[in-house]
Amino acid sequence: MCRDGRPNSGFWIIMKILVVEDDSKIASFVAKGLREAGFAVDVAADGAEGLHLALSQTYDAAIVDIMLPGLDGLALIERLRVKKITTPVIILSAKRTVDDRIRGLQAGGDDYMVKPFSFSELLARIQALIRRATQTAEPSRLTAGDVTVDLLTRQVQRGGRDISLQAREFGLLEYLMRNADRIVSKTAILEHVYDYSFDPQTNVVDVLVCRLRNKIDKDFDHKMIQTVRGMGYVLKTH
Amino acid sequence: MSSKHTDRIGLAFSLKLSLLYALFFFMASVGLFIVAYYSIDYLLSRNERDIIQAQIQEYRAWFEEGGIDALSVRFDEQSSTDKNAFFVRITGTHNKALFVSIPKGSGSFDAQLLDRLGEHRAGTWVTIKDLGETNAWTIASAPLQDGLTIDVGKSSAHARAFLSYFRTVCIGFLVPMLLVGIAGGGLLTFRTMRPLRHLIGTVRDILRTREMSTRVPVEKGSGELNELVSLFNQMLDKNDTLIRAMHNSLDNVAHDLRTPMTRLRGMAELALRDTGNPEVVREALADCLEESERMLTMLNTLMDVAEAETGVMRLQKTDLAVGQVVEKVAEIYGLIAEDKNISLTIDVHADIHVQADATRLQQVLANLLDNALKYTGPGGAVAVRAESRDGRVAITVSDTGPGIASHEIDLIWNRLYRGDHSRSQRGLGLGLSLVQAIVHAHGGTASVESRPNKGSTFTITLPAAA
Repeated sequence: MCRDGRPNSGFWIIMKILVVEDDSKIASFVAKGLREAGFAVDVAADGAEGLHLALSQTYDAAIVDIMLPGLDGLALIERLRVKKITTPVIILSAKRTVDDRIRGLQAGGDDYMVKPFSFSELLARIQALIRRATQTAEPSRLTAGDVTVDLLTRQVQRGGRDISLQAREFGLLEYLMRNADRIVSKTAILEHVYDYSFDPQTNVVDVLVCRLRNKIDKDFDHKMIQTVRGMGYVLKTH
Repeated sequence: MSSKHTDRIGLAFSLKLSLLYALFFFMASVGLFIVAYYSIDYLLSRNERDIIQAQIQEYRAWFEEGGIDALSVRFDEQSSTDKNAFFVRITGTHNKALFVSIPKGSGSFDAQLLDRLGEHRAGTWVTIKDLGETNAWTIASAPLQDGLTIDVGKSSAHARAFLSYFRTVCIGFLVPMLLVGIAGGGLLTFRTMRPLRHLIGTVRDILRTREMSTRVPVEKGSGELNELVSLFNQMLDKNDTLIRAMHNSLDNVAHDLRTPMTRLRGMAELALRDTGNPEVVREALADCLEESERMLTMLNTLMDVAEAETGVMRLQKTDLAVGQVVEKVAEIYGLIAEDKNISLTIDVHADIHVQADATRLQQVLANLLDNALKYTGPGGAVAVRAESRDGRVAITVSDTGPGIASHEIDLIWNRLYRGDHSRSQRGLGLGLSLVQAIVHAHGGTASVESRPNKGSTFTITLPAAA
């Protein structure tokens, strides 16, 4: 399973993540999942410990819960930013209003996730943050398995054969390829492909995925787009 | 204990207010009297001085005519007739009296007092207050020829008596004034504080009985306190609505989470019992995830409905082109319509604008479209139309589905109500409640017309953009 942290960095360096979360069950499943994904993980159970760790060591990313005993998450992030520590931070919160989101981002957070969250979603966002922090140039061409997508000409090929896609199908494929071999949730697809911030309570994603499958997988033995029940979809490169 | 506390504060406040009122009233009266008294005193004494000055001029003329002898003769005539005649003295060097005339009936006026005063300079004024009497003398001096000095004095007994009478009258008035002040202050405070007393009584009742429907009696008239009472009542109304809605949604959430929780529990239990087959366990776990996803959606939607119904939902209203919003939503649902072979028509004029929150309007339209597409069979048609009339915009979503039975038509807006046709469909039974709640929060209306087996038309109206 150790596939994500290292290959994305481009070097054989283990990425280190700080998890500040007072609920031990949540902290342990997040830590376990991150370790399985190839990250080194430190866990702090309260804000003061989190601050101490963040100030004394260098992390590639941090996951910080807002409601913490003692020093709360927002104050922790603010102190880090005051000390010019720019580690990307994902905020975890049980509050879902736009105001809470804005407050979190204003405090210096880079992303905001509402509990309950799906772990695969959290992983995808961490990788995106680290990518953003380390990678400089945006590639003009994506490749996954035998599929290539040219982001400029919007041409799609699989096994050398041209495939023509509609705009939303192209958007979905692009998003799946950027997250190749990672599970993406329906919510994430709605957000990224449709720019939709609420659940339309519909199977629109299923329908879109079904269409894309018909174009990408129909004539090939290896079915790349797979459904992971209860979690979402994954583009398998092999 | 707390009620006694407020009682005491209320009483102390009224008392303080009325005493303050009385004090101001009293002080103002006293001030008025003092000013009047001193003004009269001043006017009287100035008048006296004028008279004395005139007299000095006259005596000086006499003196210049015939010396002290002439003066003395004239004085004898005058003082025998005029009771209010003047005191006159002419002194030479070393304060030696050469001529003294004391009018009759001048009480204990003693010319020797003048000696005690010594030689006062010409042109100055001296007032001699006679001992024990309401009498006083005002005396002026002026130089004569040959180094002599003339002193002329006048009794101010009349003025004194007048002032003394005035004083008595004033003091006699002030006591009743003070009483009127206290009484008036008390009455005024009592009347002014009545809305506050009602307010205190009502708050105390609410705290004691926990009966939120109690309201403060509203009195006629305007004024800050009446406005406070009316605002307070409005606040109570709002609290009442909020608490009711909170109770309702809590009840609903508690009730409606039990069902999915039971499913969740059942799945997990079943999976734990059947340990032989890992595939079964995986299936059960996936089911659990899907169920928890559903519960989360339900919870969020219930919260949205509750927020919209209680007016807590924050709406960022802007001028929106209905056509654009419909297009955006239809783009998502177009796929489904195509998939189910349903024709989706949009007929919205580009000029139609509403004043609404963009995301919430999308949500409303998405729910209505979702609903329409869900119940319309293959080959059917769904249409979105909008028209603007009298400052309102009506958006209709019509379908060719099975329609809604007449006994269900009023129930479909209820939270978690699922009609006979909808039980077989995926969904929470919250979509239309959310539509109604959001539209109401925008100051609009939501309604439906339906004919069984012909289809339904949902109409929402919203305020048009200004």
